Amino acid sequence: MRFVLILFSALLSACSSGPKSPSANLPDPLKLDVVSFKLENGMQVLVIEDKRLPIFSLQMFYKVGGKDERKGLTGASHFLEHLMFKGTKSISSSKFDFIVEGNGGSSNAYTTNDMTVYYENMPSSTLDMMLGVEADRMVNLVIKKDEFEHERQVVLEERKMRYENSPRGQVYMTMMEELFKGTPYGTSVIGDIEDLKTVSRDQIYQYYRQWYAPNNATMVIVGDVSASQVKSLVKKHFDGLPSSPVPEQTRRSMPDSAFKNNLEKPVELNIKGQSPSPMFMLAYPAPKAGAPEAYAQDILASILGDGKSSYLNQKFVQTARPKFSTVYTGNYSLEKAGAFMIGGEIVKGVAPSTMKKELLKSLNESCEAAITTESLQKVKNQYESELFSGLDTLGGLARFIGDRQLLYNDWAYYRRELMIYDALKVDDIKKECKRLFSQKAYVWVTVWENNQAVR
Amino acid sequence: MKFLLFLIVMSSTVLAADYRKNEIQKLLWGDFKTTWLEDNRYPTATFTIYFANGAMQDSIQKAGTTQASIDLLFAGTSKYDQKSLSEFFDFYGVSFASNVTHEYSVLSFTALVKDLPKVTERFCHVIKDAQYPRNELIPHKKRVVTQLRNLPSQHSALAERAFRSIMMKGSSYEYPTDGNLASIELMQSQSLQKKWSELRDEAPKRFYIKGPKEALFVRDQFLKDCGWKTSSSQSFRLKNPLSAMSHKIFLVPVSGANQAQIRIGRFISQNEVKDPDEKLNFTASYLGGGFTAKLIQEVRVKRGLTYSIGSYVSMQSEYGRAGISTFSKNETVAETINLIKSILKESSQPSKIKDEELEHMKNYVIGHYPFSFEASSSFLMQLLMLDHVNEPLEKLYQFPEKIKALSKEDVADGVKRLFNWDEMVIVVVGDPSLKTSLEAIRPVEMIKAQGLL
Repeated sequence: MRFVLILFSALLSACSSGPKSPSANLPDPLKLDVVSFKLENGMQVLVIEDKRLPIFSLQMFYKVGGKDERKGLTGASHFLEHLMFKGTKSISSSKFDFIVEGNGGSSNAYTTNDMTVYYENMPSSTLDMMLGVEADRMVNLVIKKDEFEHERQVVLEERKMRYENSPRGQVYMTMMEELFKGTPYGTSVIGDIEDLKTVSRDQIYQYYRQWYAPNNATMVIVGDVSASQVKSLVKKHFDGLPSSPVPEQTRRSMPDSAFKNNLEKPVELNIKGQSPSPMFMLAYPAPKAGAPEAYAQDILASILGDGKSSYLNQKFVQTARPKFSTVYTGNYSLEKAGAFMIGGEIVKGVAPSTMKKELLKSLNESCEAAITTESLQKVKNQYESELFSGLDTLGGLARFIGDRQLLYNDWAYYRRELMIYDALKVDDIKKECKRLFSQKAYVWVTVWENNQAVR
Repeated sequence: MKFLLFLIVMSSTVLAADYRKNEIQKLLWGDFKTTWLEDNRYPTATFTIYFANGAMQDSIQKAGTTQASIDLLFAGTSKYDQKSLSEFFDFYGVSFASNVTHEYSVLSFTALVKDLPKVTERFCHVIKDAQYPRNELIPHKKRVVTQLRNLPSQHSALAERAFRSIMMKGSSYEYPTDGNLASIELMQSQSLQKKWSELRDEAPKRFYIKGPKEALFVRDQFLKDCGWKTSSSQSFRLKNPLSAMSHKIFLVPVSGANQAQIRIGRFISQNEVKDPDEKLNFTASYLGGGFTAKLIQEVRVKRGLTYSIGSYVSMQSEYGRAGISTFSKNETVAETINLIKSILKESSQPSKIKDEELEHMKNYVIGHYPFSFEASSSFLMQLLMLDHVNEPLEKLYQFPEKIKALSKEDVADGVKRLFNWDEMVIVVVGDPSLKTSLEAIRPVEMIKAQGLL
């Protein structure tokens, strides 16, 4: 017993459970039992025990993404994400994957405008080792010249695959660049070609040193682990790691006003591309994640485009004379701003310019025609059903709470979100609909083989 | 070699475990074998209907009929039109999924358990009374044709379609399950209704359910209201593909593309299907499963020629495919293909496979195996597939032991048999200018994308 007491006391000195999640007392339909604690160096850790299978998912969220890059360094967060799988001072060249897979695991990563996330799905016997590896690559990354150059080619190939040779990717990338022009969200996450070709190893390494630190990281572990064991091992591997002043300084120097959209009038771009049918996207500036209006816009997007019975689907797709072969909507809420998007594919024989006018008119009409007690209740029912579908895996659950911790500093924020959705009334959605579609500024992008402009 | 210090000895419990076995129950619902995977975490349930009848039963002129008969099931009944059906199911947050292969078809719906009685009632109404109204079929064809005509702009999807069509030429599997421009144009309401009657009333079927016990309360309603019947047994009319396809490279030109999609592989005949799955799957993993496999290390990590490369062996009951899928920039397409050729040649020799490579891949495949039981939805599909190929449940739990027993000779033999270069069909989707560099490897035949649609 003495040993246990000493260990417990040592843990307390190094990590605190911190302030309780602000939403922790709200009703929880998921009944998640999350243990949350923070190290003295600022690293946040969330743990959910699930012992059904002898496995766990570890997700490491770094709060750095496309919005933190400057001109000349676009794509740095994503390029660095690739390089994080190379080596460290103690892991020899490109052996990270061998450690993970040789122990029966898998790993990967993704980068967004706001964050970079690394995940490992591992047998539970490897917890200690994986925490050691994650701690090691947080501070000891080694970027060798030949590996850097090979990876530069890999990233350029990824860019071609996702955007240059994909009309859908091209439409999306162009929309984001135009909608957020002049703001930190106005650069592509994968990076401009010129920047990717010229960025140096030293620049990326400097970027790594600035942004990869425990005070800019949140770790989520879900699976066959015990929270007390995780606490002890996290302290062992991460406690001594130094924090970095850069994330905090940068955030202070970049107020929310820096993300304010500068769009004053409609922008229209019709780009010549490889698509035989025109692909389109219409986008409006939207509120940031967590803003009250963002929830009304989520519901609006679902009323307009989720499911076959949705307004735009019935009007333009599931109709005797379809104008679109597909249509989709989305309210993309980023940390500091948002984009309300409507996209799709126009059927052969229908002119994009005609469809643009018809779509704009329909969106204005939708505020009265589409938003009803029934359509609102339908979306609320859909949200209830969909809530569970993404949580079938440990990784899905880890991402679910990790996203909320990063965006709202509150892993339990989904409980508040569910209450907000539930409280919204028809008039709330109508009001937001009218405000959104009365904006004079929007971006319209098409990619089609018959267009003339080359971008 | 420093990394080897990190390796943790594989626990013997990993090899012996019966993951989630106690959550599986085999039931008999009426005359139908039913598998229930108990999952009490969330208040949702999925009902899956397996039909032992797939796209192979469509004639070439009617290609895509089975797929469309399921896709358009909810397009209208004598009582409800498409709009009111979609309103109903969307209102209850019901999601549908379908999968039509050449050998079998699957239809699923997922709903909140509390809504199951209402949802099942309407679902069964559709099952019994689907009408495929003409006024819905015509716009459906227009939408599908638009999407299909746009396929050349999705290079990866086009490459998959071209690869299948060319590799399977002359076989019973040649045409895609979703049909082609010609067969879609000819599609009629009557043929869809006939096909659906065949699936509902004749095809052998089984049910697979995932969810809490309360979901089973709709059993009688699901059987009685839907009126499922069976009156035939599965039969195939198998024809193997032409063997002459492996002497050329087939280039599907897409002008202006600055990157080319590459597909390399072959059809696996009926006789080879009996080869142990574990050996075939492990061979594919050794070559191209994960980030440490041979192909990705050589092609991406060491040379930066691609962003992704993978290999697979995909088996159904009567046939299979082995393939390698990647892409590269125009300047390095030929280099990438030649490199793959040399890797395959080397890997077909036991002496070239290192002990640590073999052990590493075994650790990966065995250690990662519990993850295949993680998501209830995919676990349920594994159970369905086992039944389809007529294998016992125990096969799932014997997999790790069988992998452990594999030798370098097994892997080399697998590579030699599945990925013998002389039998490989090669398809490239990319700029027509690639023809010159590809001709240094094999004669090149140009195949127009339009001809594949």
